[in-house]
Amino acid sequence: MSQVKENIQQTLGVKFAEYLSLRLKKRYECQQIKRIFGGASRETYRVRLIEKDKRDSVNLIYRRSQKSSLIETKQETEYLAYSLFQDSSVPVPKLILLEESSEALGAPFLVMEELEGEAASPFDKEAYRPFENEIGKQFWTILGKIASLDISKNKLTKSLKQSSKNTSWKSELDYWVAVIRNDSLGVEPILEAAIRWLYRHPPKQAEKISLVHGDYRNGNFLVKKNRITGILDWEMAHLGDPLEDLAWALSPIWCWELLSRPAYLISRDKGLKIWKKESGLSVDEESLIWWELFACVKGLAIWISAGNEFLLGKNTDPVNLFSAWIPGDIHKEIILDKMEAVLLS
Amino acid sequence: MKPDINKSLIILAQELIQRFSTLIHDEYEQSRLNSLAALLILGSVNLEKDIANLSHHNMLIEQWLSKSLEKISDRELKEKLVNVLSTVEDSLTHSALDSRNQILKENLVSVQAYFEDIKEKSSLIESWEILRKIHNDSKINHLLPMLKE
Repeated sequence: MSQVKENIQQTLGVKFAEYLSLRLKKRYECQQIKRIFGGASRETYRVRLIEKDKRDSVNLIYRRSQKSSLIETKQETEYLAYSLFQDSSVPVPKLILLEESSEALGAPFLVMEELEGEAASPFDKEAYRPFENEIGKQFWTILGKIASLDISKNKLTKSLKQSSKNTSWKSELDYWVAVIRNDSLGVEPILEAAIRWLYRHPPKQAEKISLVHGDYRNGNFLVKKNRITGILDWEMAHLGDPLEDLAWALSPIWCWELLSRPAYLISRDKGLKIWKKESGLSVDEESLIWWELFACVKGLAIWISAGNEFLLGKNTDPVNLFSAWIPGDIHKEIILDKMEAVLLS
Repeated sequence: MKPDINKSLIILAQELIQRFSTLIHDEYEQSRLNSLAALLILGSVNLEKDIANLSHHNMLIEQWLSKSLEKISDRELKEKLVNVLSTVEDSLTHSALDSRNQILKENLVSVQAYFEDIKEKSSLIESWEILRKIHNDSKINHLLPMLKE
């Protein structure tokens, strides 16, 4: 890393420690600050702070909004979602604070305690070996728990994007189609055909309105050996049909090199069985097909947005170009397979 | 003869990984440079075939649109198609072929939507065969394992 960049990062670390000292009424000093991968929508740093008098150290995660990000998401959404599962059986990092103003450190941010464990690449088919069965059970159990959360009893969920049983599919589809219309660099007939099909064949009414993570998949959780230690990246959380998360997690893109094991974990049938038991919900097969095709359209919207950011020079992180090329290509192929199947059925 | 652009890009990418990446001590920045190099390699893969593919794809769509004309009774759509098909693109530059490709794809989308409305299944099947062919010619997702190396 260049000296200039290193200095900028150190300055950020010093300011971060000063800010936190003020907010938490402690005397922190920044021992180390390091940028890490933490999704394309935020700049994520691992910060090691030390308490001046006690010499105790604490490892924190500092998630800072980017001037330009793939999907426009509010820090508050992520913070609220994490809040819902503090000290619960859905493992999430302990929240420290949310700062929504840019005045303090140049951009809104949230701070959490660092959890143990590592996040794997969603494209690494070996990532969870040899614990794919144990991790797989936890993966689908946790998703079931998220779907089973009673949102009517929770005031926090009122601040999230709202939805109704009848219209959740349409509001989500409208949202992502608008992203495509806004960011697309050209016409893609495969995608257009999928969008037409989705509008013409709506799914059944949602069995319930749940909290939807919005990006629940391999790569978005931390794992230590055979244990999931934290579910991350809640910035797309909203209220909606729980089948949305289920379909997204099942998508072949997240197990492209081993399609029989969604998320490179356990089989689809086993995963669905666990999810049904844990959520207490049923799975309407036709509706799930709808949500699985929707997942491809949503995915392509995200990858199109990434390509647009890269090409316009707004965010030249190579992850944006990679997303537009490889995941975009995979989702197109999945749509092709699905649309051919529909046509020939 | 100039050095082949595909091979040159691959060599440049290897230089970035082998020579410069090791000089960077920050994990995040090093990984970013490696990703850039891998994307350079990926970008070079289809470069050579790109113009020939575009030209061929345009021809396939034009043929399908021409064949579709007789099954279209919507006057406005028919007129629009006739206009598009009467325009000939002489230039073989990438940008000219790509612009033509976009116009043809827009029309393919309109005609597919129309055939879906009137349930013209055989033409739809033909259109999906073309889309499959186009995808297979330009797809890069099979290179995913290479990127991880």
